[in-house]
This record gives sequence, structure tokens and C-alpha cells, in this order.
Amino acid sequence: MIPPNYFLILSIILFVLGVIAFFIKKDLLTMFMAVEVMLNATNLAFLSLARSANSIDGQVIVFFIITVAASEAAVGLAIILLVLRQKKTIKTEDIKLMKG
Amino acid sequence: MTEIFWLIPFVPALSTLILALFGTKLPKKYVSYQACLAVFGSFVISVISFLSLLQVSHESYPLVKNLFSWISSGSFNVNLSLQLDPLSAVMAMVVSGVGFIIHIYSVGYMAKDEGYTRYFTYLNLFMFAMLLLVMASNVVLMFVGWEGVGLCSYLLIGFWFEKHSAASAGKKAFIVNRIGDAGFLLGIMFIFIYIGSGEFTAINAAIGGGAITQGLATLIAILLFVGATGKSAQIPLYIWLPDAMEGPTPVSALIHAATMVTAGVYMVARMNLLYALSGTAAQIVAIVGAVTAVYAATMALTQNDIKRVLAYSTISQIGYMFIGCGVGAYAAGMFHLYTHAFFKSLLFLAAGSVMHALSGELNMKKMGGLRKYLPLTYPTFLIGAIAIAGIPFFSGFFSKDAILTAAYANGYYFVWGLGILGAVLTAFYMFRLIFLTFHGQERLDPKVKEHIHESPPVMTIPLVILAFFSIIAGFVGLPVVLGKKLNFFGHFLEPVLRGGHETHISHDLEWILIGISVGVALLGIIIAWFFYIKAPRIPERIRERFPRIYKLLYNKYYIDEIYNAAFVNPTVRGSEKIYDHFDLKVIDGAVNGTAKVTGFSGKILSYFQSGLIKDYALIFLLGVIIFIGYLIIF
Amino acid sequence: MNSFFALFPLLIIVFIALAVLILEVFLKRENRDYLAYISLVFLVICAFVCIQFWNKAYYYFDGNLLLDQFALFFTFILLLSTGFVVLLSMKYISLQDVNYGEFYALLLLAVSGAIIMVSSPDLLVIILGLEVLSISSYALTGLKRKDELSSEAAIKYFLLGSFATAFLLFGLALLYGASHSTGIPTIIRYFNTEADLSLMALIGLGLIVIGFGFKIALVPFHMWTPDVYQGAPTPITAFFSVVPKAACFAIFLRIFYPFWKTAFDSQAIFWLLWGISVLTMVVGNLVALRQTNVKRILAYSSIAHAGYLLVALLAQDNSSLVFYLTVYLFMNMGAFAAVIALSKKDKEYLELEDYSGIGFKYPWIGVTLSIFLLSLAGFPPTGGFLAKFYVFSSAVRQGLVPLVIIGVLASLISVYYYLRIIVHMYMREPSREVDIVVENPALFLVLFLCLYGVLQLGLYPRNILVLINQAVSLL
Repeated sequence: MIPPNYFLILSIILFVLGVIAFFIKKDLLTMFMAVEVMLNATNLAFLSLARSANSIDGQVIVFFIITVAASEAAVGLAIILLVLRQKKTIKTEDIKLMKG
Repeated sequence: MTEIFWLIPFVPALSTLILALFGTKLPKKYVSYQACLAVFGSFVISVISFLSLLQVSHESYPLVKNLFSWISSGSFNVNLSLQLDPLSAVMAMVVSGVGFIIHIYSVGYMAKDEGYTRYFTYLNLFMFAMLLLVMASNVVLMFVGWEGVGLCSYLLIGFWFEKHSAASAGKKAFIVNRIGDAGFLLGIMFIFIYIGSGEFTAINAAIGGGAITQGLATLIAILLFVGATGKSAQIPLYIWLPDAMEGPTPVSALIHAATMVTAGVYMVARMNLLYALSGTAAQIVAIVGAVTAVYAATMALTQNDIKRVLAYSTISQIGYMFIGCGVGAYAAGMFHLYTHAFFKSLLFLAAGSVMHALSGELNMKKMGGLRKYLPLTYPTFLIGAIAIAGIPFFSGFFSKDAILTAAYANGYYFVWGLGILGAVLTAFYMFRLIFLTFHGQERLDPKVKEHIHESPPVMTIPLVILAFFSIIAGFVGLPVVLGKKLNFFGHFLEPVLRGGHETHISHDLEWILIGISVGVALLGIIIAWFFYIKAPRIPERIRERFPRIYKLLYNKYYIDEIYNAAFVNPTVRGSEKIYDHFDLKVIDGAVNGTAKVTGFSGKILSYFQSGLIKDYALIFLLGVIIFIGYLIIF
Repeated sequence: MNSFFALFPLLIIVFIALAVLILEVFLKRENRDYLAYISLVFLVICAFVCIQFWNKAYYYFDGNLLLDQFALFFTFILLLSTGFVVLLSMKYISLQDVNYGEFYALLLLAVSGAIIMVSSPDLLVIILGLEVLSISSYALTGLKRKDELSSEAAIKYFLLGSFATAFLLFGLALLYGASHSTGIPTIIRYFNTEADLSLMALIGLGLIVIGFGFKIALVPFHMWTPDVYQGAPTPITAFFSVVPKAACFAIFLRIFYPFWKTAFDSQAIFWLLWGISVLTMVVGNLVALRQTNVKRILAYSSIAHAGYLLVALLAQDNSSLVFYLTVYLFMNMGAFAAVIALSKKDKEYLELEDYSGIGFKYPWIGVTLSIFLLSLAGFPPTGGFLAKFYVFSSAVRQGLVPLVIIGVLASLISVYYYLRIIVHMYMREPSREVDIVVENPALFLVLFLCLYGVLQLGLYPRNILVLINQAVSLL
């Protein structure tokens, strides 16, 4: 059997990959997907930690996080659509009306 | 009857409230009656309180009236309470008395101004704040009054805000004062932490009981004094006062000469035990006062604006008051505060009368020979000048002499020397002012000359009253040499000013000291007479011979410019290019609120705010890495 | 007492949010004011319930929902600010074309999230509450659909917010892994008993602090703040400047107060917060100097105020923190109310230039805004002065003298930009045509209530301090 710690390490790697993707991707949609990766990495972390702690809580928490991610996606996609409709683009470098 | 003293600040407060709410709907005449009567009411109550205080034995000082408990949270308690003791009684009488006279004068001076009601609202509000300041029984309430007078001063300096210079002068005053107030506030916090209460009685008891060490006393005293340098326009925070002359002249007389600017002196006298305990702090007060006294006097030498001369003169005279407090002669310092209130407000009001006569002209170069046109203003002005110069039997003589004698007697010879030097300069610049304005040939603008007229009685009567007091006010505090009993003023304040100490010197020495002060005063007058009456070309020649020194003095040692370069952004000092960028123009811009000057830091920081999501996330991530990294390492 | 009553305030708000959402369908566009009235009535009822519950401590769901006095006090603050925001929105949403039925529903859902946050001792529940608050906030930010700034603000808020949430949740995972629980008391017990702390627990705690710090807008996690504040509909900006801050500081109090009190060696995190507090005060105030848009000025000012609040947290004086927060609510809401007042159909006056001469043209707005700004600057006798004084003196008492000196100097800088607005209002000739819709009784009600609050807290704060002391004594 694979020790739960390995999953924790995997989740950290996944989280870092998500962070990297957030920075190298250029459009809003994929950036948001990167955040989803980070959230899923968190799920994995909860699962592995629940396993090593022998407690069920962590597995239940995962459901909550999935819900959070889903509702974020719902609102987020709507906002991205709004931006697309107004600016005809979802490139991040085009979004800089406000600064200073 | 002793209880009614708590009403003193609240009479003007009530009047302010009425004026603020219904002022625009009230007739002008009613406004002036109400405003003046409110202050007069305060004055009457002050006098009654003063008289009742004389009946009470010394042991029961101070009488405290607790109105309600303002803050009470655990160990942090502040009451809204007022106190009456000799010090606050004297201050309340001076403030409300001089305030009343200036209110009356204002009725005439502001008669044609559109902002008549607004003016009296502010003025009454000022009276409230100032009386609160002097009657507060704890430091926090005192601070409230302290900030309140600052706010009113700001409002009144910027009263004619249509004038750009007035608005920016008001703002400068406010900001410089806030710098001092930051120090004051820190001092108050230390008091609360180490003494546990802000009540003056508790502070004095703690000092008497040895609850605080000398080092701590020095720290607190210096922090409080930083506040005093701001409010009382001492080095290094004096720069706002000359600009404050942009306000209406009665305001200059009331706030920037007689009352508010002396609040710092009052505060030091109020905390006299603290300064006495520290020693070091008292010395600093004395030295700052002495240096300011001379320094400001030299700047008054070359100004051509009549009000600016008086402004620098005020700074210099407050320096004398601080000398008195610093050398341990608190009563002498307070005495000078009291006489100064009369003669300096007289000088300002007389200057206002001159301005009134000359359709607002302030430049002495365009005056001369006014004596025959202004039959009442001239003698009153002259009395003020004689009083400030320190000619015997006028009020200024007694108080200044008391300070200088105490400085000498307590061993501050250097301070005494500076004081004497300042006295020569004072006599000189005051009589330069008199001679240039009222004597010599007329240099009036022909257009101005057509309208020249003496001011109406509502303005000249206050002048006469103040002149009367400028002459006699000093007799309540005769020099010790004439008999110890005759110093009523000092005696009356003694129970409060226990931190003071005086060394007795021989009568002969005291007579010599008096002789020296009188001699230098006469010397100053003679030099001025020689320069400006006998041989009026001499100043011109001096200017030609020593153009640099003249220019240095005329430009006030370039202090404003240095401040602008050095204090607005310390990081830019030294760099030539940036220095140019931060010259006077930009500083004024900052004071006026343009976004230009925020220093490099603000600019760089806002550069990071690039508007791009990724940059924001990057900074967030950097924050996370540093945060977590720190946690891991430590 | 284990009782269903613990759910009451929350249920009222959620119920009314959904009711408003449904009712909207049946109402004509011009009758949408009724939604505001209904929301207001129920906010008041809910606040009344809070008052009734004051002396009882109900809990439910195994104590995961705990309505103690601390929670009740904060709930009351949240309801009060939401009430103000509703009042401010009534005219605004029809003038600025944000008149969508979701508006009030989203607002109420957002505050329900905040109420969940303050009334739970469990980090998971708290974070779920935070998500409810955040997701509604994202939507609210973008509600001015025709305004490019609004949608830009929404996307910035959304992306950065969810980015930060991921960190927060990951932190929770690590904390859970170390302590095997998400309940704050258990976690604290873990920190106290464990001889050598695992790195995992420390990092977890750090990430949680960062996650909440993002919402509070602590430097360097503040970058979203000015843009979002500028772009969002102004009443919503007012909402953001108070509600999430209050809720997150409540959490900080719940977490850190027991920390400071115990043997746990919290040096590292203490000094980190110290540094963040300095950065927040300094950066907030410095950058505010450069702004010309009043909403951005207030945004940076709210960042700086978060710094002062953090000083109170470090001073370990809960009542001073809560008092500051209460005063901040009134003065900030008041300032935003005045800003909202300066608007007409499809146009808001937000540039500093627009404020020239306003003080004489609209005296009531001028006077009240000046008082709020003076209070924000910490000028006596307003509440702002007392709050700052209280916070700073508790900090000095804790020996945090350098921090206080920096704080006092920073607040000195702030005088510049607050005064700038006042100077524009009173000492400049009007340079632009400004013409506003004056008939707005709801807004004036807010102005006066806030004015009352600022002065009451400045002049006679005793009663409120008693309540605050009761509320925080339970921590």
C-alpha cells in the first residue's frame, strides 16, 4: 500500500503546479482553471491527511470544498463572460483600466 | 458660587451652537451682540471665580468640577472635568478678557465682510476650545482643547480662502501643528501608562510620591514640549506663524498673539513639577526659548510687512516666556504671558487700524508720517511699542525683567545674555516699525491717501482699553527688589507653581540687572531713531555694503526652503536633481493638496499598483513566500 | 444552551434573501424599493433578536454554531452596516442603473456569510462562511453591468480572491493534518500541548492568517483593494470596507487572543504581524496621498485603518480593537454616504476636482463629510480620536513603543489627504459643474445616524464600552 504521505507530497506538487499555471497562462479562463487545480490539490491533501489521521472529517470537508469550487465556477464564469462581452477579449494584459 | 466656574467655557459653546445652527437667519446686529456677550459672560464668571478663589484656603486647590465620566474602560479612565486654581483662573481671565475686547473690535473690523456670521461662529468656537484647554483638569481634555484651538486657528487663517495664500497658510499651520501634536499625544500616552491617570492632581501626586524616575520625566516632558513648540511656534516648528498672518487681523491678535500660541507656555507651567523633576527638559525649554527669542527677533529686523514684524515679534516674546519657565521662574513666564497678551494684541489691533485706514496696505515702505492722520492709533501703538521694548513702568518691563533676573539669578548666564541681546533687537525693530510707519516722510500711494481716515470708535475704544492695560498691567508683579510682598502675581500663583525655584541675589546686583535691561532697551530705540529718523539713508547703505547678510535675514535664513527640502522627503536630501524637483513650488503644491508631492516612496509604491492581475497575484505570492519562509526559519 | 435558537439570526437573513429573490419576479421595476423596505424590516427584526439574546448563549450543531455575546455583538455590527448599505442603495441603484432584483438578495447572502463567520468556533465553518461572503461579493462587484470599471473590478476580485481562497483552504488542510481537527479550541490546545511543533502546523496557521489578511486588505495582500473599491458600485464599496473587515478581525480575535494568553511561543507570528501592521499603515497612507479619485483615497485609507486595527490586535487589547472597529463602521459608512450623495442620473462625482466648492453648495453634505474625515484622521472630540488614542495607548502599555511611533507618524501623513478633500470642499472655487439629486431621505438618514454614532462614540462612549467589554470577556 502506498503511504498517505506520498499523497500529501503529490498534493503539494499539484498545488505548486496550479500556482505556476496561474502565472504563465494568459487568459482569464485558464487562470481560473489553475485555481481549480489548486483547490483540487487541497482536496487531495485533506484526503491523505484524513487517512493518516484515521479520521473521517477530512473526507467530509472535501465535499464542502467541491461545493465551494462549483459555486466559484458558476459566478466566475459569469464574470468572465461579462468581461468578454464588454472588452471582446479575456487576455489578462488587456485588463488594466484601474491602477495607481 | 465657587461651583459656577465650570460654565466659563460653555457660554461661548452655547453661543457657537446657536450661531452655527441659525446664524444665517439672524440679523448681523444680533450676531455681534450675542457673540460679544457670550465672551463677556465668560469673563464675568472668570472674575467671580477668581474672587471666590481668593476666599478659599490654599490647601483646597484645585477646585474640581466633574461633569461626567467620559471614558471608563478598565484602567483607562478619563473624566470630563474642569478645574479652578490660580493658574487656570488667571488664564481664563486673560483669555476671556482680551477675547472680549477683540470681539468688540471685530464688530467694526469685519463689518463689511460677507462671512460675518461665520467669522463670529469660529471665534466663539475658538473661545470655547481655548477656555476648555486652560480649565481642563486632565491632559486628555486639555488635548481636546489643544486640537480644537488648532482647528479654529486653521479655519480662521484660511478665512479668506479665496486668497490662495490664505488657504495654503491655513493648511500649513494645521499640518505643522499636527507634527507637534503627535509628540504631545505620545507624551500623554506615557503619562497614562506610568501614572495611570491623566488628572493633573494625580500626576503631581505621582511626581511628589516619586512614582516616576527622572529619565521618564525627561522623556515625557520633552514629548510634551514638542507639542508646545508646534502650538507656540518655537524652533523648529515656528514656520507656520508668520504665514498665519493671512487671516483677519483681530484673529492674529487673539489667536496668534494673545492666547492660543501661549498655550504651550501654559502647558509647561501646568506641568511645572514634571519639568522641575527632569531638570534636563527644563534646560532644553530654556535654551530653545532663548535661541528662538533672538533668532525670531533678527528676522523681524528686516521685514517690511507690518504684520509679519509683529508675528516674528510674537515668536520672540514667547521665547522669553519659555526662558522664564525653563529657568524655573514659572511665575515670571506666566507673568510675561499675561502682560504680553495686552500689549501684543494692542499692537496687532493698532496695526489692523492702520491697515483699515490705508485700505489694506501692509507694506511699511509705503507708509510714513501717518501720525497726523491717525490721532488715536498712533499713541496707542506707541504705548504698545514702549511696553514691549521694556521701558520702565510699562507692563512689558516688569515681566521681561522678572524673567531675565531669574535667568541670571539661577545661573543661566548664557540664556540671560541671549535674552539681553534679544531685548536690544526687540526695541530696535519695534521702533523701526514706529518710525517707518508714523514718522518721516510720507510714502503713501496717492490713491490710498484719498481715503485715509481714523477707524470708527468701535475699533479705537478697544485700542484705548488695551493701551490702558498695557501700561498698568505690570504693577501687579513688581520686582522683588522693591519688596517681596509687592509681587502679587507671583504670590497668587505660588501654590500651583511649586516646581519653581528662585535664588536670591543681592539688591545691588538686581538693580544692576534692571539697569542693564533698561539700558539695552533705550539703546535699541536710539539706534532705530538714528537709522530711520536722523539718517534714514543708513539702512540703505548697510544693505549695499552687506547685501548677503541683508538678503539672508530678509529671506528668513531660507528656512522655509531648507524645510521643504529636508523634511518633506528626507531621502531626497543631497541629490541635486531631486532638490530642484522639491523646491518651493512643489512644496506649496503639496500643501495645497495636489497629488504631485508624495515623496518617492508613495510614487514607487503606487508603481507596483500596475493594474494587472498577475502583478497583484505575484506580490501576494511574494508575501506568502516571505511570510512562510520567516515562519520556517524562526 | 443547546438550542435551535442559535440559528435564528442566520435563518432570518437567509430566508429573507431568498424571499427577496423570489419577490423580485413579481415586482415591477419601479416598485423595487419595496425589496429594500422588506430587507430593512427584517434586518431590524434580526438585530432585535440579537439584543434579546444578549444574556443567553445558545449553541447548536455540537457547538459549531455558537451565539455568544461576542458573536452577537459582531452580528449586530454586521447587520447595522448592512442596514446602512441598504439605505444607501435605494436611490443609488435606480440612478446608476444597477436596479437588479439580485442586488438585495446578494447583499443579504453576503452578510449571512459574515454572520456564519463570526458565530462559529470552527475554522471549516468559518471558511465556508467566508466563501458565502466572497462569492456574493464577486457578483455584487460586477453588478454595474454597463460599466467597464465594474466588470474589471469583478474579475480582479474574483481571480485574486479565489487564488487566495486556495491558499486559505490549503492552510486549513495542513492545520487539520497536524491537529486532527478544524475547531479553534482544539487547534489551540494542540499548539499549547505539543512540545515541538510540526512545521506543518505553523505553515498552516500562516496560510490561514494570509487568507484572512487578504480579505482585510493587509499589505502585501491588499493589491486588489483599490481597484475593486473603485470599480464596485459605491454602496457595495462601503459594504466591503466594513463587513469583511469586521468579520475577519472577529476571527483573528478568536484565534489570537487565546494564543497570546498561553505559553505558546508565538514570537515568529507576532513579529510577522508586527511587520505587516507597519507595512499596512505606511503603504496605505503613502499611496493614498497620490490619489485623485475619492473612492481610491477611501480605499487606501481603509487599508491604513486595517493597520491600526492590527496594532490593537498586537496590543492584546480586545476591547480597543472592537471599539475601533465600531467607530470605523460609523465614520467610514458616513464618508461613503457623503460620496454617494454626490451623484445624479448615470453620473457619480468621484474626482477630487468635483469636490471643489461643494461645501457651500451643499452645506449638510460638506459639514458631515468634514466631520467623518476629521474622525478618520483621528481628530478630537470625534470617535476616531478616541479609538486611535485607546488603541495606541494600549499598545504603549504592551511596550510596543516603536510600533506606536510609526502608527502616530503614519496617521500624521493621513491628515494630508483627508484634509485635501476638506480643502477642496471649502477652499476652492468650483471648477466643474456639479449638480446632484438632493431628494434622498434614506441617504440623509444614514448621514445623520453615522454623525450621531461618531459623536456619541467620541463624547460618551461609556455604554458601548461596557457592552464591548462584556462581549470580549468571553474569549
